[in-house]
Amino acid sequence: MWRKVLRWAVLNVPICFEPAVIAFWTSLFFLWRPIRRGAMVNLRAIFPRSTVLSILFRTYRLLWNFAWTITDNVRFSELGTVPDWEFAGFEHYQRLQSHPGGAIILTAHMGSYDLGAQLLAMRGDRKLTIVRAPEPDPETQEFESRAYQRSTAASVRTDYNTRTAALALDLVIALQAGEIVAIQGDRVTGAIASLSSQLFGHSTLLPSGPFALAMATGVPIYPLFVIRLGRRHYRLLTCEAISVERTGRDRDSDLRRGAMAWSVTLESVIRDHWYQWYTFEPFYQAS
Amino acid sequence: MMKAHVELAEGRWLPSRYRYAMFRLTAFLILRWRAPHQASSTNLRYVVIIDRDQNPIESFAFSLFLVTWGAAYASVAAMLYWGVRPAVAAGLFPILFILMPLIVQVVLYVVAGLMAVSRRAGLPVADTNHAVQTAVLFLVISVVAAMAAGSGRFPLPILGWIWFALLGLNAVAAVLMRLLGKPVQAAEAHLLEGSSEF
Repeated sequence: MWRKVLRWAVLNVPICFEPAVIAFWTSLFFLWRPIRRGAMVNLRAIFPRSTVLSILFRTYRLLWNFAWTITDNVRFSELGTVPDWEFAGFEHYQRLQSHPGGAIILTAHMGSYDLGAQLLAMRGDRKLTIVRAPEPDPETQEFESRAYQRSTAASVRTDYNTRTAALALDLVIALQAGEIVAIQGDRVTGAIASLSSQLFGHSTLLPSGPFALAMATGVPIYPLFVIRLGRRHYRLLTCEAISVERTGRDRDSDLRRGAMAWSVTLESVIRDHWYQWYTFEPFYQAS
Repeated sequence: MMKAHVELAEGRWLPSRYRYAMFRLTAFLILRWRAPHQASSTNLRYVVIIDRDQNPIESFAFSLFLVTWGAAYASVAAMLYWGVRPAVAAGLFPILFILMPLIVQVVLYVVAGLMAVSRRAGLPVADTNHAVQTAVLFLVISVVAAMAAGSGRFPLPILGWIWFALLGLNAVAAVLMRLLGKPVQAAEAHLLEGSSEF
């Protein structure tokens, strides 16, 4: 429901009203208990020494960025509005684009995943497959799918991580054909395979699929993050590639090594950009 | 399709990225007299989009002005016409400042309602984008409010004068931008050389 209201607002709010309206929406999100609580639990894990007041301010800032990001997404899908971009880690980005075979992009629920995918599709000449988790609510899922189909470039394909076995095969074929596969690697939902790892000193689960895929196909994993810097202004941060190779009989150990390298990168990026890690459920497992 | 200016941070000062004349004029002056951008050692690259609603300074400045002006107007009016004590009116200001993002949205719903009624009456009204109509109605309301403030008791006229001073400044900037037409076009063309469609 709120997504429909947001779409209506994006189409009807004059640009000069936008910040005031976003401030109002942020306040609504802030009053929405499950979202606020989830964000606060995660921020408390990232900043264990922060006071309650400080965590509340951080939560508001996180939700402020979240409101802007989903607005930018809708503005892009409905009106084709593209933000300004900055590239950080450009040498890694160039390596990713010039890499002769397939590659995996591993990213997190930060900034705008959809805008980042669109940028990659527009600037690259390779096909991009995006793997996403479906929305829990079927009606929301249908609404999001329709909006996404309207906006994405022809070279971008979206797939959902619910059909695990068939999806794995499709992704192997795509990677062997030299395509890029983008996966969100900071959240395990449903029954997808996972690896245990550490994040901010807490035990957490990360999806094992990207690492198994990289090992099976021999392609590099590029950690890539879309970070919102300001109004209609994003940064595409590309980090050094992670390679997952089979070194012996213990396959799980090699996968865990890959997951560990990813969690180190993820933690460092989240630490610098905590205000836009849009994870509203506790990321760690209760001890 | 929007024009992108790739790998040049100065692109953000292109007057075409601003909606209002006084911001376009300021951007042109900065672009004209600013030192050229030095290549960054952090290996950053830029893709700057040319769209007249792209700039955050303009959007935030206008929104902040709107909210502050509206909250100040209501506080002063409450003091003058409803007998609210000055200290209470001063205390009212931050509350109204927080509520103003909700209050300005009333215009949005009024326009949406008017459009829906017009559509039902068979008038040729688009069923999606009413941002322009909302902006026009808001401008009309604020001009009427500023005129009412101008003829009100002191210190309400100050708020009216501020509003008309801003309108006047924008009008002067618009005239200047028209006079500077060729230099502005030349500066933009110089920066946009080699830019690509995005």
